Amino acid sequence: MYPRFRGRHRLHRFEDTGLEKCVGCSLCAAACPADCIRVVSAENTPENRISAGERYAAVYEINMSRCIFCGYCEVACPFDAITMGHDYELSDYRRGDLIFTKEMLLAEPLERTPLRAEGE
Amino acid sequence: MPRPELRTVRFTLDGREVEAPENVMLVDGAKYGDVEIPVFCYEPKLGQPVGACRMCLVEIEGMPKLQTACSTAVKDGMVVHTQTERVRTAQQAVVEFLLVNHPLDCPVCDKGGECPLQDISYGWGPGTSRFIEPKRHFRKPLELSPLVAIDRERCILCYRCVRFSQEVAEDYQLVLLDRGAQSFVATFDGHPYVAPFSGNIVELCPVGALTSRAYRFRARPWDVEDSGSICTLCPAQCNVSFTVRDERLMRVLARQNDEVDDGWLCDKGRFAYQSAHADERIVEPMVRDGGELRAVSWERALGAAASALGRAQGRVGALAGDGTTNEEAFLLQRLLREALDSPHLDSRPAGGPPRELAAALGAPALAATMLDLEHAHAVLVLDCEPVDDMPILDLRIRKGVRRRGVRLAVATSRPSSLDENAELVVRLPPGGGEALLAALDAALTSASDVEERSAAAGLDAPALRQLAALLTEAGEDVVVVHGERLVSGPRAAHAARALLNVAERLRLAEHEGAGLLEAPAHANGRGLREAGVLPEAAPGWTEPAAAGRSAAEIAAGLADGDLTTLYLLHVDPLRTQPDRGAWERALAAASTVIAHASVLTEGIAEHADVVFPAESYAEKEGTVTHPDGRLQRLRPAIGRPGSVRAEWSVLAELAERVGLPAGPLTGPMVTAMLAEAVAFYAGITLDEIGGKGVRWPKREAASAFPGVEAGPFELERPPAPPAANGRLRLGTYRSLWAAPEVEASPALKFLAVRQRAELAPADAERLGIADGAAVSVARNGASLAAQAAIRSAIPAGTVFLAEGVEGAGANAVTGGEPGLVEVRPG
Amino acid sequence: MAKAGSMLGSGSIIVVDETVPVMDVARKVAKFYAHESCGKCTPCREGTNWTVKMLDRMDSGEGTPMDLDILAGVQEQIIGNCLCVLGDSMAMPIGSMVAKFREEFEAHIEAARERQEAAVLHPEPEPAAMLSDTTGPYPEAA
Ligand code: SF4
Ligand code: SF4
Ligand code: SF4
Ligand code: SF4
Ligand code: SF4
Ligand code: FES
Repeated sequence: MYPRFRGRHRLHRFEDTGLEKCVGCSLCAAACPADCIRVVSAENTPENRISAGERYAAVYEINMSRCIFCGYCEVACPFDAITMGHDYELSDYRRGDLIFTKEMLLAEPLERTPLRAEGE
Repeated sequence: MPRPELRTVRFTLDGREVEAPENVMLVDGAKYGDVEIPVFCYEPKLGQPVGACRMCLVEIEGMPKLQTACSTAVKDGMVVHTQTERVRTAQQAVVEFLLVNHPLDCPVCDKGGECPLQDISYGWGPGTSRFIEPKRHFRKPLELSPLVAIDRERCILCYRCVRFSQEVAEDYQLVLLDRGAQSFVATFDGHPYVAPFSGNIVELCPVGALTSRAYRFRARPWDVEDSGSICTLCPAQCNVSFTVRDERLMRVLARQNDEVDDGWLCDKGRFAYQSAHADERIVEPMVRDGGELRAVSWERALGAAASALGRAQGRVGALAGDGTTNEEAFLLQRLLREALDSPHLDSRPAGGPPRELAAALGAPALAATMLDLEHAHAVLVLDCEPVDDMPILDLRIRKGVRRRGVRLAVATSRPSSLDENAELVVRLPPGGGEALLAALDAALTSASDVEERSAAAGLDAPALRQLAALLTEAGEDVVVVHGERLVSGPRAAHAARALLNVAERLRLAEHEGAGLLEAPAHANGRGLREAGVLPEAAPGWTEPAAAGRSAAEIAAGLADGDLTTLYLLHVDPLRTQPDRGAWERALAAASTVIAHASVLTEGIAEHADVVFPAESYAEKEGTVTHPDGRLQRLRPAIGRPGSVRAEWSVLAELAERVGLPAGPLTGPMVTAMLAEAVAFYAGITLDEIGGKGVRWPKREAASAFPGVEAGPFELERPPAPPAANGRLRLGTYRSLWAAPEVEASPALKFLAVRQRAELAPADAERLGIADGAAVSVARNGASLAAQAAIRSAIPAGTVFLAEGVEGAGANAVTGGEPGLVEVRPG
Repeated sequence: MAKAGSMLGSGSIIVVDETVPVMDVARKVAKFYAHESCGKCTPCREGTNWTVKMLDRMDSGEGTPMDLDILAGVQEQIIGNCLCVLGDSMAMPIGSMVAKFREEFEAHIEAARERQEAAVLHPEPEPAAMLSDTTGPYPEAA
């Protein structure tokens, strides 16, 4: 695959600390021309540290059925937390399953954790 | 006081002629020429500019140095340049300097996206920085108070928050400590900054240094929508803008309206929006079934209410209060008067003067405006505590005194927070308002018996003469601010006459800038009265077909079976009405109690048989009337949760079910009905009211106000207060924080009020009570537990209790009117 | 003084002989004003503090002659833009020192750098921090 191919997004963690790179700043959501990113952030506490900054994304969702794969979100991100990956198999039977949650985006590609369980 | 006349001046701005009002600062003057000059520290609401940030530098011909446009007034013939190389270099320099010690926090900073520092750096900054040294560091974020978080690294030291605390709210708590680049904002000894108006600093701060702990990280500006409406948590009816994300209120911001709120909000208005999303909120209709309230369908609840009302023809009483809109009030009185033949309804908790006198007090000529307060020659605060009764009034009075030299006199029984700003303070015994007015009337007419009258009322005669002299000498524009309590209770008619006499002597009706301003007991008190929620006045102060019972008489009627059904529109009588005992008996005896409520407060939880879920103020549609006669429009900002329905439609449907012809189908139709019924609202439409409201006393239709006799009257001598015999005189006050919305808002819970008995040191010593000790306050067999609070400013012989405290309100021992109580340790 | 384009302090006369390095004079002046700045207006508060940090860095051997341009630029940005004259009172002498003793500053920076390098290569005998306390004659600059 061409290295700069823009496929399904991935969210990243810091390799050393395991913390999420995303701080929930919503800049990607602001940049997105298709308005398909939803970020709801919350505050990190010493007991529950999710990201490196003061805030983290409590909810991070991308609606893949609306995404136009322009990559603006990747450009907007000040922390390289989101990048366009190479996963292009993005068809499903329900629209709802095309909303990728933070867990799905953080997971290694192809390991799908859909919103509903098998056989539902 | 004559308002400054607006002359215009012409000056040259970047080579173009611009006209602007005289004496405005260049920053504002430049806007008339469509030029924006960047500012950080300039905020006209805070008073005199300080010229601290240096962002607004411009070049003025004839002056060697660049000048700050925020503190230079425009002059005729001035030649100003804002776009020269010199100005640009200076602007870039200031931005570069500001960023020297500013962290690169934008992605995690709550201000990001609505940050003046971001905008100005982008628009006027150099684009790069040459600063490579280490920045200053502070621990962050810290709690400045339970409501506000402070990040001192982000502070650009614009002084706004400090000036607010020092010069607007005058709580003198915030200061800048240390100096030079080490300066930081704090309270002097590090205590939390808790004050009634503290939230305003969040909105003032031009960076993300001060953030609301309730809003932190909840949303970005592009995630939200703004929705303008009115705060109806108190009579000040501040104009607000709700920030809404995903159908939830996220925060409340001020929507500046100089004629109402001057751009400020109190902390209740700023944070109590959380109550709209509280878990304890009622979101479904409920009916009492087997002794317990259970959620039911609307059909069942409406059916139960309609059949109870139908059965009780002629024997229904109703109370309305708090955030009831004019439309709901109008429909309520229509339901009772026209469909149920029961004109027993009241919106004044402690009753009031008869129709003629009450209307005379509400006459358009006597109405003073919020702006009048600021420009008056003298202001008299009479028997009310603005910061508790109508908080924004407090800021307005302070502003008048500080910036325009208004002469302030305070005549209250409880020590007021305005005492320090007042030129003259008169302490009256609780309930001594009428006597004070009668004595003042005598002093103003130079009657000979002033001494005698004052002595009988327990007042200080020389102080009274001084007060009379102050009010007459200051100038013709005198504004008298009073609380509803002044003209309530069994002697309301006498007090009203005395007040009208004083108004007459001071010629308040004749002067444009003079008048009366009342802080009513309920947020929309004035609107409720004008819409006819009174036992003896129909909409527009007209005479009703039949007079009904007042609130106290409704209680009595229910207790002895003359009335059987009670309709409560946003009122919990155990909480808001005086004389709790009487209402306990009334509620127990009533066969059906129907209530509109948003939370199950004591009286509703125990006694209501049908509960309709109330809309929160952010969900309402309709109008309210400000105490100065301004009609303001509520617009729904969020959808109603659960199965909550518009309350006007509930009232309209009930009326239909008990036999009235089909009523209004939309909210604006009710407004139209109201405008038709109230002669002096004639022709008013929602469009005319618009975003800033319209004062009906200023409209032509005001001439339709019913003719009333306004005195002067022959005054009856007020009865002498009863002898104390070792007991203490009970005074009550309403705390700003004693409200169900405060209790239901997580952010404000720490402020919820517990009952305190405020005692003078001498009395406390005599009774052997220590500060903070448990005491019991007893009267006529009823007693109330409280915590003693010894305050040196409390006059000896009196004790003060707070009204409206959940479960422990002063009304347990008021017995309808303030009297004598026994205070004992334990 | 004004004619000479200088203003060493608030118009008082300070006598300094040629054995005192100009860097030390500049640091002394800057520190004094940074300490005295009330912090109300931006150019003075941030400008004095920035100047001190730059001078300290140059003196400790972390600077380059290019920093002198920034230093001079910062002084220019302060002059005339403050609320009172305290900021100007620092910016004018520092500005004129940079203009009139540029070579000496450059030599000082160079020497400090060499010392610091030496200290890094052969730790001991002289910790770099000591340099900032110099008050006596300074061989290279003299
Ligand atoms: S790739 Fe473009 S359309 Fe898709 S989420 Fe990112 S910004 Fe939005
Ligand atoms: S992915 Fe990047 S741009 Fe989007 S919220 Fe997270 S940190 Fe901000
Ligand atoms: S205050 Fe403004 S400029 Fe500073 S970090 Fe926050 S958003 Fe960025
Ligand atoms: S905290 Fe905010 S408002 Fe207060 S001085 Fe700093 S920047 Fe200004
Ligand atoms: S003063 Fe009254 S109306 Fe204004 S914000 Fe506070 S509670 Fe609301
Ligand atoms: S806005 Fe003029 S000095 Fe701050």
